[in-house]
Amino acid sequence: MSDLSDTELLTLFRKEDTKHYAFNLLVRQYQRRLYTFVRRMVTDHDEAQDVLQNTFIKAWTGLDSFRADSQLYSWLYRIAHNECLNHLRKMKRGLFVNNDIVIEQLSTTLDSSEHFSGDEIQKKLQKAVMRLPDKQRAVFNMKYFDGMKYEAMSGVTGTSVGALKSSYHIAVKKIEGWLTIDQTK
Amino acid sequence: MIDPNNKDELKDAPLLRGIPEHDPFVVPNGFFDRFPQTVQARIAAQQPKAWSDRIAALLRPRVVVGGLAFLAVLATTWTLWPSIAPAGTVALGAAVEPEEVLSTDLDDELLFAALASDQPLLDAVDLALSDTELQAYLENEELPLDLLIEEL
Repeated sequence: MSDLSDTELLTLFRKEDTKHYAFNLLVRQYQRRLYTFVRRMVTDHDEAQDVLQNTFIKAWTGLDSFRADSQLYSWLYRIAHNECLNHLRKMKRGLFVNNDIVIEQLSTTLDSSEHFSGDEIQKKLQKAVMRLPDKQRAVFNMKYFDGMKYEAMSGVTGTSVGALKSSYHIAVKKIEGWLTIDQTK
Repeated sequence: MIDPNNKDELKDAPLLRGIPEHDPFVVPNGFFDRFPQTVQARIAAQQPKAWSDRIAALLRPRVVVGGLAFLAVLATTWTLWPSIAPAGTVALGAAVEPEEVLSTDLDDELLFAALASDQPLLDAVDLALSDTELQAYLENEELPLDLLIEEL
Protein backbone atom coordinates (compact mmCIF):
# COMPACT_ATOMS: atom_id res chain seq x y z
CA MET A 1 0.00 0.00 0.00
CA SER A 2 1.49 3.35 -1.03
CA ASP A 3 1.99 6.08 1.51
CA LEU A 4 -0.73 8.67 1.94
CA SER A 5 0.04 12.36 1.78
CA ASP A 6 0.02 14.48 4.91
CA THR A 7 -3.27 16.08 3.87
CA GLU A 8 -4.92 12.71 3.26
CA LEU A 9 -3.74 11.38 6.60
CA LEU A 10 -4.92 14.45 8.48
CA THR A 11 -8.31 14.43 6.76
CA LEU A 12 -8.85 10.81 7.78
CA PHE A 13 -7.60 11.47 11.29
CA ARG A 14 -10.00 14.32 11.88
CA LYS A 15 -13.04 12.14 11.22
CA GLU A 16 -14.10 10.21 14.30
CA ASP A 17 -14.84 6.94 12.46
CA THR A 18 -11.48 6.84 10.67
CA LYS A 19 -9.31 8.35 13.38
CA HIS A 20 -7.72 5.12 14.56
CA TYR A 21 -7.34 3.79 11.04
CA ALA A 22 -5.53 6.99 9.99
CA PHE A 23 -3.26 6.88 12.99
CA ASN A 24 -2.41 3.26 12.30
CA LEU A 25 -1.38 4.26 8.79
CA LEU A 26 0.68 7.14 10.14
CA VAL A 27 2.57 4.84 12.51
CA ARG A 28 3.26 2.33 9.74
CA GLN A 29 4.40 5.08 7.42
CA TYR A 30 6.91 6.70 9.75
CA GLN A 31 7.90 4.09 12.31
CA ARG A 32 11.04 2.82 10.57
CA ARG A 33 12.62 6.19 9.93
CA LEU A 34 11.89 7.44 13.43
CA TYR A 35 13.04 4.19 15.00
CA THR A 36 16.39 4.45 13.22
CA PHE A 37 16.97 7.95 14.57
CA VAL A 38 15.86 7.02 18.09
CA ARG A 39 17.92 3.84 18.13
CA ARG A 40 21.07 5.72 17.23
CA MET A 41 20.40 8.11 20.09
CA VAL A 42 19.65 5.59 22.83
CA THR A 43 21.46 2.51 21.42
CA ASP A 44 19.40 -0.17 23.17
CA HIS A 45 16.42 -1.64 21.28
CA ASP A 46 14.07 -1.87 24.27
CA GLU A 47 14.72 1.72 25.20
CA ALA A 48 14.30 2.78 21.61
CA GLN A 49 10.94 1.03 21.60
CA ASP A 50 9.85 2.92 24.72
CA VAL A 51 10.94 6.27 23.33
CA LEU A 52 9.26 5.56 20.00
CA GLN A 53 6.02 4.60 21.73
CA ASN A 54 6.11 7.82 23.74
CA THR A 55 6.73 9.72 20.53
CA PHE A 56 3.63 8.33 18.85
CA ILE A 57 1.49 8.72 21.97
CA LYS A 58 2.40 12.40 22.00
CA ALA A 59 1.67 12.59 18.29
CA TRP A 60 -1.80 11.09 18.90
CA THR A 61 -2.48 13.75 21.52
CA GLY A 62 -1.17 16.65 19.47
CA LEU A 63 -2.26 15.74 15.95
CA ASP A 64 -5.63 17.46 16.24
CA SER A 65 -3.90 20.77 16.71
CA PHE A 66 -1.19 20.18 14.09
CA ARG A 67 -1.30 23.24 11.86
CA ALA A 68 0.40 21.76 8.76
CA ASP A 69 2.82 24.67 8.61
CA SER A 70 5.53 22.05 8.43
CA GLN A 71 5.65 18.53 7.07
CA LEU A 72 4.17 15.83 9.23
CA TYR A 73 7.45 13.92 9.21
CA SER A 74 9.38 16.96 10.47
CA TRP A 75 6.83 17.39 13.23
CA LEU A 76 7.12 13.75 14.24
CA TYR A 77 10.90 13.92 14.04
CA ARG A 78 10.83 16.90 16.37
CA ILE A 79 8.78 14.99 18.92
CA ALA A 80 11.15 12.02 18.65
CA HIS A 81 14.15 14.30 19.04
CA ASN A 82 12.71 15.85 22.23
CA GLU A 83 11.74 12.45 23.61
CA CYS A 84 15.29 11.18 23.05
CA LEU A 85 16.77 14.15 24.86
CA ASN A 86 14.30 13.69 27.73
CA HIS A 87 15.18 10.02 27.94
CA LEU A 88 18.92 10.70 28.02
CA ARG A 89 18.38 13.43 30.60
CA LYS A 90 16.50 10.99 32.84
CA MET A 91 19.36 8.51 32.55
CA LYS A 92 21.69 11.15 33.93
CA ARG A 93 19.40 12.16 36.76
CA GLY A 94 20.69 10.98 40.06
CA LEU A 95 23.23 11.97 42.60
CA PHE A 96 26.06 9.77 41.44
CA VAL A 97 25.34 9.53 37.76
CA ASN A 98 27.54 11.61 35.52
CA ASN A 99 27.97 11.70 31.78
CA ASP A 100 30.91 9.27 31.78
CA ILE A 101 28.85 6.65 33.54
CA VAL A 102 26.03 7.01 31.03
CA ILE A 103 28.47 6.72 28.14
CA GLU A 104 29.98 3.64 29.73
CA GLN A 105 26.49 2.17 30.11
CA LEU A 106 25.64 2.81 26.47
CA SER A 107 28.98 1.44 25.38
CA THR A 108 28.45 -1.76 27.35
CA THR A 109 25.00 -2.11 25.81
CA LEU A 110 26.59 -1.85 22.39
CA ASP A 111 29.22 -4.49 23.17
CA SER A 112 26.74 -6.97 24.58
CA SER A 113 23.83 -6.30 22.27
CA GLU A 114 22.78 -9.06 19.94
CA HIS A 115 21.04 -6.39 17.95
CA PHE A 116 24.22 -4.80 16.64
CA SER A 117 25.66 -6.21 13.45
CA GLY A 118 28.33 -3.65 12.68
CA ASP A 119 32.02 -4.40 12.26
CA GLU A 120 34.76 -3.02 14.45
CA ILE A 121 34.98 0.39 12.81
CA GLN A 122 31.24 0.82 12.98
CA LYS A 123 31.31 -0.02 16.67
CA LYS A 124 34.10 2.52 17.20
CA LEU A 125 32.09 5.11 15.32
CA GLN A 126 29.01 4.48 17.46
CA LYS A 127 31.06 4.71 20.64
CA ALA A 128 32.61 7.96 19.45
CA VAL A 129 29.17 9.38 18.65
CA MET A 130 28.03 8.45 22.16
CA ARG A 131 30.71 10.69 23.58
CA LEU A 132 29.20 13.77 21.98
CA PRO A 133 26.86 15.96 24.05
CA ASP A 134 23.25 14.87 23.50
CA LYS A 135 22.15 17.76 21.31
CA GLN A 136 25.31 17.63 19.25
CA ARG A 137 24.87 13.89 18.86
CA ALA A 138 21.36 14.47 17.50
CA VAL A 139 22.72 17.00 15.01
CA PHE A 140 25.48 14.64 13.88
CA ASN A 141 23.07 11.72 13.50
CA MET A 142 20.57 13.75 11.51
CA LYS A 143 23.24 15.08 9.16
CA TYR A 144 25.71 12.21 8.82
CA PHE A 145 23.33 9.22 8.90
CA ASP A 146 20.01 10.67 7.72
CA GLY A 147 21.41 13.27 5.30
CA MET A 148 18.97 15.85 6.57
CA LYS A 149 19.26 19.40 5.22
CA TYR A 150 20.15 22.10 7.72
CA GLU A 151 16.84 23.92 7.17
CA ALA A 152 14.90 20.78 8.09
CA MET A 153 17.14 20.21 11.10
CA SER A 154 16.46 23.76 12.20
CA GLY A 155 12.74 22.97 12.23
CA VAL A 156 13.37 19.87 14.32
CA THR A 157 15.76 21.32 16.85
CA GLY A 158 14.65 24.94 16.96
CA THR A 159 18.27 25.96 16.41
CA SER A 160 19.50 28.32 13.69
CA VAL A 161 21.11 26.95 10.52
CA GLY A 162 24.39 28.65 11.35
CA ALA A 163 24.55 27.13 14.81
CA LEU A 164 23.73 23.71 13.37
CA LYS A 165 26.52 23.93 10.79
CA SER A 166 28.95 24.92 13.46
CA SER A 167 27.80 22.13 15.76
CA TYR A 168 28.12 19.56 12.98
CA HIS A 169 31.60 20.62 12.00
CA ILE A 170 32.78 20.46 15.58
CA ALA A 171 31.22 17.01 15.96
CA VAL A 172 32.94 15.77 12.80
CA LYS A 173 36.25 17.06 14.03
CA LYS A 174 35.87 15.39 17.44
CA ILE A 175 34.84 12.04 16.02
CA GLU A 176 37.57 12.04 13.41
CA GLY A 177 40.04 12.77 16.19
CA TRP A 178 38.78 9.92 18.39
CA LEU A 179 38.77 7.47 15.48
CA THR A 180 42.30 8.47 14.63
CA ILE A 181 43.46 7.89 18.21
CA ASP A 182 41.72 4.50 18.23
CA GLN A 183 43.39 3.58 14.99
CA THR A 184 46.86 4.35 16.28
CA LYS A 185 46.37 2.24 19.44
CA MET B 1 23.43 6.54 3.84
CA ILE B 2 25.88 9.38 3.41
CA ASP B 3 24.40 12.05 1.18
CA PRO B 4 26.78 12.92 -1.68
CA ASN B 5 26.33 16.58 -0.74
CA ASN B 6 27.45 15.67 2.72
CA LYS B 7 30.80 14.35 1.51
CA ASP B 8 32.01 17.90 0.93
CA GLU B 9 31.65 18.61 4.61
CA LEU B 10 33.70 15.50 5.37
CA LYS B 11 36.63 16.41 3.16
CA ASP B 12 38.78 16.86 6.25
CA ALA B 13 37.53 13.64 7.87
CA PRO B 14 38.82 10.74 5.77
CA LEU B 15 38.04 8.09 8.35
CA LEU B 16 34.42 9.19 8.66
CA ARG B 17 34.13 9.51 4.91
CA GLY B 18 35.45 6.01 4.42
CA ILE B 19 33.09 4.16 6.77
CA PRO B 20 30.77 1.90 4.75
CA GLU B 21 27.16 2.82 4.49
CA HIS B 22 25.46 0.22 6.61
CA ASP B 23 22.93 0.42 9.43
CA PRO B 24 24.49 -1.71 12.15
CA PHE B 25 21.45 -1.78 14.40
CA VAL B 26 19.45 -4.96 14.02
CA VAL B 27 15.71 -4.83 14.59
CA PRO B 28 14.03 -7.93 16.10
CA ASN B 29 11.93 -9.91 13.65
CA GLY B 30 8.35 -8.75 13.33
CA PHE B 31 8.89 -5.66 15.43
CA PHE B 32 7.46 -3.23 12.90
CA ASP B 33 4.47 -5.52 12.30
CA ARG B 34 3.57 -5.53 15.98
CA PHE B 35 4.52 -1.98 16.86
CA PRO B 36 1.39 -0.18 15.56
CA GLN B 37 -0.83 -2.49 17.65
CA THR B 38 1.33 -1.82 20.70
CA VAL B 39 0.87 1.92 20.26
CA GLN B 40 -2.89 1.58 19.73
CA ALA B 41 -3.17 -0.53 22.88
CA ARG B 42 -1.45 2.18 24.91
CA ILE B 43 -3.69 4.83 23.44
CA ALA B 44 -6.78 2.76 24.27
CA ALA B 45 -5.55 2.34 27.83
CA GLN B 46 -5.34 6.10 28.20
CA GLN B 47 -8.82 6.84 26.85
CA PRO B 48 -11.36 8.01 29.46
CA LYS B 49 -14.11 5.48 30.09
CA ALA B 50 -17.48 6.03 28.45
CA TRP B 51 -20.44 6.68 30.72
CA SER B 52 -21.96 3.33 29.80
CA ASP B 53 -18.78 1.60 30.97
CA ARG B 54 -18.82 3.52 34.23
CA ILE B 55 -22.44 2.62 34.90
CA ALA B 56 -21.74 -1.00 34.06
CA ALA B 57 -18.87 -0.97 36.58
CA LEU B 58 -21.18 0.41 39.26
CA LEU B 59 -23.78 -2.26 38.61
CA ARG B 60 -21.43 -5.14 39.29
CA PRO B 61 -22.89 -7.50 41.96
CA ARG B 62 -20.14 -6.88 44.51
CA VAL B 63 -20.55 -3.14 44.21
CA VAL B 64 -24.34 -3.37 44.57
CA VAL B 65 -24.17 -5.70 47.60
CA GLY B 66 -21.53 -3.57 49.26
CA GLY B 67 -23.53 -0.43 48.68
CA LEU B 68 -26.71 -1.96 50.08
CA ALA B 69 -24.87 -3.21 53.15
CA PHE B 70 -23.50 0.26 53.78
CA LEU B 71 -26.96 1.81 53.45
CA ALA B 72 -28.40 -0.78 55.83
CA VAL B 73 -25.81 0.04 58.48
CA LEU B 74 -26.46 3.73 58.03
CA ALA B 75 -30.23 3.33 58.32
CA THR B 76 -29.92 1.15 61.43
CA THR B 77 -27.64 3.63 63.12
CA TRP B 78 -29.94 6.51 62.29
CA THR B 79 -33.02 4.68 63.60
CA LEU B 80 -31.47 3.52 66.85
CA TRP B 81 -29.55 6.73 67.59
CA PRO B 82 -32.01 8.27 70.20
CA SER B 83 -32.09 5.03 72.20
CA ILE B 84 -28.34 4.81 72.24
CA ALA B 85 -28.18 7.73 74.71
CA PRO B 86 -27.28 6.41 78.24
CA ALA B 87 -30.31 5.69 80.47
CA GLY B 88 -30.71 7.10 83.93
CA THR B 89 -28.75 10.19 83.27
CA VAL B 90 -30.46 13.23 84.71
CA ALA B 91 -29.70 15.82 82.17
CA LEU B 92 -32.75 17.91 82.60
CA GLY B 93 -30.87 20.84 83.95
CA ALA B 94 -28.41 20.96 81.07
CA ALA B 95 -31.07 20.16 78.46
CA VAL B 96 -33.49 22.85 79.46
CA GLU B 97 -32.83 26.30 78.15
CA PRO B 98 -34.28 29.33 79.94
CA GLU B 99 -36.37 30.18 76.88
CA GLU B 100 -37.97 26.73 77.00
CA VAL B 101 -39.01 27.23 80.61
CA LEU B 102 -40.60 30.57 79.84
CA SER B 103 -42.39 29.41 76.70
CA THR B 104 -44.00 26.19 78.02
CA ASP B 105 -46.49 25.50 80.79
CA LEU B 106 -44.55 25.48 83.95
CA ASP B 107 -43.76 22.05 85.26
CA ASP B 108 -42.43 21.99 88.81
CA GLU B 109 -39.76 19.49 87.95
CA LEU B 110 -38.62 21.48 84.95
CA LEU B 111 -38.69 24.72 86.92
CA PHE B 112 -36.53 23.35 89.71
CA ALA B 113 -34.11 21.91 87.14
CA ALA B 114 -33.84 25.24 85.36
CA LEU B 115 -33.30 27.12 88.58
CA ALA B 116 -30.70 24.57 89.68
CA SER B 117 -28.61 25.08 86.55
CA ASP B 118 -25.55 27.24 86.77
CA GLN B 119 -26.71 29.58 84.09
CA PRO B 120 -28.76 32.40 85.66
CA LEU B 121 -32.03 33.19 83.93
CA LEU B 122 -31.23 36.86 83.78
CA ASP B 123 -28.08 36.15 81.74
CA ALA B 124 -30.34 35.51 78.78
CA VAL B 125 -31.70 39.03 79.02
CA ASP B 126 -29.75 41.94 77.71
CA LEU B 127 -31.70 45.15 78.24
CA ALA B 128 -28.90 47.52 77.23
CA LEU B 129 -30.58 50.29 79.23
CA SER B 130 -28.82 53.03 81.08
CA ASP B 131 -29.40 53.33 84.82
CA THR B 132 -31.89 56.16 84.36
CA GLU B 133 -33.77 54.24 81.72
CA LEU B 134 -33.83 51.15 83.87
CA GLN B 135 -35.15 53.06 86.86
CA ALA B 136 -37.90 54.63 84.74
CA TYR B 137 -38.83 51.25 83.36
CA LEU B 138 -39.04 49.63 86.77
CA GLU B 139 -41.15 52.44 88.19
CA ASN B 140 -43.46 52.36 85.21
CA GLU B 141 -43.96 48.63 85.33
CA GLU B 142 -44.58 48.70 89.10
CA LEU B 143 -42.39 45.65 89.54
CA PRO B 144 -41.68 44.38 93.02
CA LEU B 145 -38.27 45.97 93.48
CA ASP B 146 -37.47 44.13 96.68
CA LEU B 147 -37.70 40.75 94.94
CA LEU B 148 -35.62 41.93 92.01
CA ILE B 149 -32.96 43.24 94.32
CA GLU B 150 -32.79 39.83 95.99
CA GLU B 151 -32.37 38.13 92.60
CA LEU B 152 -29.52 40.45 91.62
